[in-house]
Amino acid sequence: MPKSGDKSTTTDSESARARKLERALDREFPVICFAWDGTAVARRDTDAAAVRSRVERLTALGVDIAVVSSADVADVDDQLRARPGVEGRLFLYLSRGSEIYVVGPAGPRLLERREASSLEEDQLAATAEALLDRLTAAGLEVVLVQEHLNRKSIDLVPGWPEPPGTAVGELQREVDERLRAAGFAGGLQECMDQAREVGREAGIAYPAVTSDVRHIDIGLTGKSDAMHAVTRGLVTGRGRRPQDLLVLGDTFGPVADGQGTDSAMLIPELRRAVYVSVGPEPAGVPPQVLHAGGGPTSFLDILHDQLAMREIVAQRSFPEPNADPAWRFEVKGFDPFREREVETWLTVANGETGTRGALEEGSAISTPATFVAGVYGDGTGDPAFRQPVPAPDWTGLRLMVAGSAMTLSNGEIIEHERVLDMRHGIVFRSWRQRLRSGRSVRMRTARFASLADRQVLAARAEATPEDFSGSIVWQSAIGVSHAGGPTKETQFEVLDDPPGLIASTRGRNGGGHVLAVTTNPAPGSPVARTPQQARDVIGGRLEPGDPATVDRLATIASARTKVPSPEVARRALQRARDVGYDELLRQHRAAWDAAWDAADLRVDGDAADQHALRFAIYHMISTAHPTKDTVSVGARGLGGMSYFLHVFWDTEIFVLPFFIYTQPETARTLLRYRYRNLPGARQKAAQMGFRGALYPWESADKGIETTPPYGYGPSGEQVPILSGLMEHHISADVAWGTWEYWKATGDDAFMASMGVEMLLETARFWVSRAARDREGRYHVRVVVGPDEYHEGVDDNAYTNVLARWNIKRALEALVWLETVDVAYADELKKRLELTVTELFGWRAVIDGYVDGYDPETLLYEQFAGFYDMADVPIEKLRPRPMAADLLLTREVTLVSKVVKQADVVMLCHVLADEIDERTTRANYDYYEPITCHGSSLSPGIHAAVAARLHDVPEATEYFKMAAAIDLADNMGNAAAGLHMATMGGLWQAAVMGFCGVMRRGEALRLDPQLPEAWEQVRLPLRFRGAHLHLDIRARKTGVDVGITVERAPVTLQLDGQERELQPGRHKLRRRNGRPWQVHAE
Amino acid sequence: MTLLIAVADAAADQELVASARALAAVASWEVRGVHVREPGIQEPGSADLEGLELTAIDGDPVEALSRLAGGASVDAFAFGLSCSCGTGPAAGMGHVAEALLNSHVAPVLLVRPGMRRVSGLKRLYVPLEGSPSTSAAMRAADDALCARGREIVMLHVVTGGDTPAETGSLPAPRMTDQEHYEWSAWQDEFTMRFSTCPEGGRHRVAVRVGDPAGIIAEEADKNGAELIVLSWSGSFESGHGAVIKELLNAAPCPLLLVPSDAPAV
Repeated sequence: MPKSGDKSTTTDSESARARKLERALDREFPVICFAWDGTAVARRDTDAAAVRSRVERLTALGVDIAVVSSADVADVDDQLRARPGVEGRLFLYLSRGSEIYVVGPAGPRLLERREASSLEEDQLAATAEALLDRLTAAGLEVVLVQEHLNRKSIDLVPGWPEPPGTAVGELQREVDERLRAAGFAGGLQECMDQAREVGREAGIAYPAVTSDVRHIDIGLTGKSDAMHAVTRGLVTGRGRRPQDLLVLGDTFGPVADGQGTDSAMLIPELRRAVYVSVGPEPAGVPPQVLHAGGGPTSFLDILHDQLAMREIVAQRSFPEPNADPAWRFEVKGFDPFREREVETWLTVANGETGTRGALEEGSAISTPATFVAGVYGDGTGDPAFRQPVPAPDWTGLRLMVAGSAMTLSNGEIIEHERVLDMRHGIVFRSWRQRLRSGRSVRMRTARFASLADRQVLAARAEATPEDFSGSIVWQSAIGVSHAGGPTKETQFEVLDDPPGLIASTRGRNGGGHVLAVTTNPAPGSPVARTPQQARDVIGGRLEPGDPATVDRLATIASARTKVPSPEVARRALQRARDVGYDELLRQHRAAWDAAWDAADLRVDGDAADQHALRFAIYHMISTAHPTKDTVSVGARGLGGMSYFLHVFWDTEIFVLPFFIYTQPETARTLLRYRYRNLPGARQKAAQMGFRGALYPWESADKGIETTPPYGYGPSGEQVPILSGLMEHHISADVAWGTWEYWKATGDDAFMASMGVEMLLETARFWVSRAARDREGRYHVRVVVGPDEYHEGVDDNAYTNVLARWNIKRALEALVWLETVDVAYADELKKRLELTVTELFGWRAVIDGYVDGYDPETLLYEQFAGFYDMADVPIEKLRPRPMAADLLLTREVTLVSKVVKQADVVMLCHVLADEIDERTTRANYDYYEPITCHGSSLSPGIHAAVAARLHDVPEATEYFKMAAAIDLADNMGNAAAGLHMATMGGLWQAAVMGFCGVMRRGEALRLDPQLPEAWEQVRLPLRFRGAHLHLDIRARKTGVDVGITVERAPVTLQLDGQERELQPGRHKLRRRNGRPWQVHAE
Repeated sequence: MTLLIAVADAAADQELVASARALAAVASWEVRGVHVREPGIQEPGSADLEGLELTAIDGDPVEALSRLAGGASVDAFAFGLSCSCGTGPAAGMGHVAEALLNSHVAPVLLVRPGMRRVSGLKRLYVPLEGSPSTSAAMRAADDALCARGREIVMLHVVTGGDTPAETGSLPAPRMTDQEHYEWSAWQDEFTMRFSTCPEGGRHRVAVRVGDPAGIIAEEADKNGAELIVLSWSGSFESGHGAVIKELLNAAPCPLLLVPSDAPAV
């Protein structure tokens, strides 16, 4: 055969061997056992840092490691110095199987030691002496060297320098030559046979005779004993199979004429284990051993591959934010001036809790806080009114890199980006920092407040050294909330099961929280826990590219009047931990997917508008609780302490419509909050000398008035607050929300059980609130309308018209109740002491209610005397928005025709079902120029009304003004909380304004007027049992609307005519100036 | 930190020296004097200035003083506003002071004869328009002058015009839904955003509406301020600079102008 063929055959054989080795090692081994000398380290004085790092990381990943050596613990541990985070993963089988140590954070601890009996000692000594005699008699210069446990060792070449474990060839030749020259023709092997022989002669039944070429050891135990112990302890003893074990050695094959020392590791019970030799094995390896060669370098590579296989799991399991820019709210870099705004924007909330998006490691300018809806205490401020009791801060997580904390001010920021994934309610952070030490670290975090289990908060954090090997440690802690508030005390304790921390916070004369937190290594991350006082410490020694990942889970249990038992939070935490971060995340994402399926509003053509709408919808869903009627939507959401989570009219007038038309179950819960607090409203009315229910301007946990009587103005001067005393329209606003919900959902059960009573009680208030003059007209005097620049006015149109509407609807609702459930209607009237006489009187009040409307001009006078007030030149009210009360002074605005926010325009919006468009146009044209939009509630409603009036360019301007309230670069409005009413207003402007979808009776009017840039809008809507999907497309000649109707028919109002659409797909088309055309598909 | 007092005339600059030394004392700065020799003007002596260590130099004073600041041996300058010979844009300011201001090398203390003297510095005013780039004055005040028993009034003057467009700005809110929550939240955020004072100092945010220079002067006068610290952006011609120009005449107390890109004092 040609020579080249031989070469080819050799190469093929090597390739096959390499493939076989690769296949055998291409899996994760739960147990790895290896010899020390020659395998893990070349010499006893070699630096074993690389071995140590791998061993610690593998044990942190749950791999059991067994080190087998003939050396004792001092030798091996001094060199290895591995300190796993937990005890029970690293074992040392030393002294040729005579000792077993387990190694934990504190070092090695002896588990077992085989102690030779005195007889055995004598037998060993006799054996060694006999062998020495034979060798010296043959003229060899040999010595009995240091005595080992249960073993005697004879040095065959005294004075020979210690060779590296991988360079034994030369030594072997020397030893063999010396032995043969002395008459031992069989060389070392013959010498070892004689050792066994003298051992047996001395009475040792199974003398363990081995050689590392230089020495002959005669002992009671050998490496096979170590392997039996490994099998018992780590394989069968831990429910594993032999094939789960990887054994690494360097001398499995023959050495000289004898067996290599590692051949003793080949025991029958482990014939299915994977054996790999990294030694040179000049005489080949036994059949069951795979030969890798390469010495300790190859050994390290094999361990590294075992790590990489696991770590890739950790790297791949780190969640990624949505790649679609329309779902991403991005904050790049770090701007200390804006950090509090950023924290608010990046709030993760679930209607029950809200956690600000503060930096995990904290900073001097960070304000981390977690708020819990509905839990209040007596405020400690001035004035002291009900304030939320913030929960302890669960987000604190600091990375220590070689003892130095990783912070944004430590060195140089290479990259820093935070992304709120609005689709799934997760805040991602990606950060690369070059520390002052010169080390570069990449950090990622992913935090969420579970929408699937509202008690659960979770974060995953990953740190990866980019250019160094070293210690990386996560330190986690619970802190007292930065938000302040009426916290009376916070207690901390260490939690044993699951391991973590627990904090209990009690509010002053109010509720409290128990927060339990556990931090654990994430699956696949080579880090381990080191419990310390008051905080969890998790880390390890890593190499470049290795991720140190931890999962932090927290659960909160809260109560409105006490601190819950810690056990409640602990059990919840246990459940969460059993589920695990990944599954919690999956459930959370699924819940958000469902929420968005019901609510997403997709706009093609204007990315900024799309973004603003998604941001608004995300925060509205985050803030509302779908089932818990003890809480509602606070004016600034769950992301900031401002407004103390108090509930205003913002909820019913601005936010509620979004839920009515997308998630009516949540809308119902928000109204149940008002029904639950009806006693508080009755109390307020009675305290002010009226009947019925006057809802508090600011409501907290008890439903009573929570508006402080005074506050502080721009320069800290004390100013009286009159809204709690005078801003009574909120009672009609609640009634409006109740009616709107009923009409839009057809939820008769709610209306019968709660809605009618709320309408009757608010109507009764309005009847008693009105004062009859000599002409028989009814006035509501000394109020504040939506335009709060004018305090103590009479007959505010918004208030009066809505009050009259309230009384009318209450009577209608009662008639309806008497129709559907006369028994309950009678019971209700009896309970409310509503007599026929009283109800008859209501009708007279309706007829006499003053509303300021002039049929000739079609204008509502905002309040009595408004027309007589001073005019302010329009240019003085520009640019808008402007704080006219500040710039012109309160004295001026009080007596001038300057409107803070939509008032009459707001009336035209909420009663669009009743106020025709000519009247709306007239009032809009009159009031819009003199409205300075000094309230965040104003621009969105102006956008909605302008769009309804087909003034699309102006509506678009107002829409963008509203969108900027929370998101503009230079307003800073969001630092202490978001503007929930603005968000609701944006949704209403888009849906009711631009899409032209508004309720008319029990039908939906459709009249789209899309902004020029909007090419297409798609939205789901719920209306009276029907599930609708609208697809509105702007055409050059008009508009096309695709409607998919599911579950129930829906009635549309098109061109003033009602038309019922059956379930199915329908195509509607309107060409410019022509009526709608409808086609069923 | 070394404050270099540029003395032109011993008699005219008595108040400059007194205020500068007092400011240096409360800020724990070292203080030195310098005189640029000019023909026909008598060189002052230390004895004329209550023992102020005074160095006389020749040549181009702008170049000489700039070199001192650039070499880090001087961190701030003090000038009198008594010059009657200069051609500077602001009354009383000589061309040396103006050149140093324009070179943005260091904070400059300006003292006009008749101004209220700095003594214990119980109260100082820092006018802030609410933008990051004009908050250098606040950083300087916090770094050097924030101390127990001293009040720093962060004065924000609202005008009817546009708000600063700069990212991170926090002008007085144009929308105040509920006054009692809005203003306290704004004041908290305004303080956190623009002040980094260590513990011990007392800060107060004051909001006024109107002409900035007039309001600043009026507030400082009415409330006994001993110092007004302002950010200096490089021009007297418009905006912030125009306010400073007016204050050179109208301020009741010394002005400390801090270049907006100056290192911390």
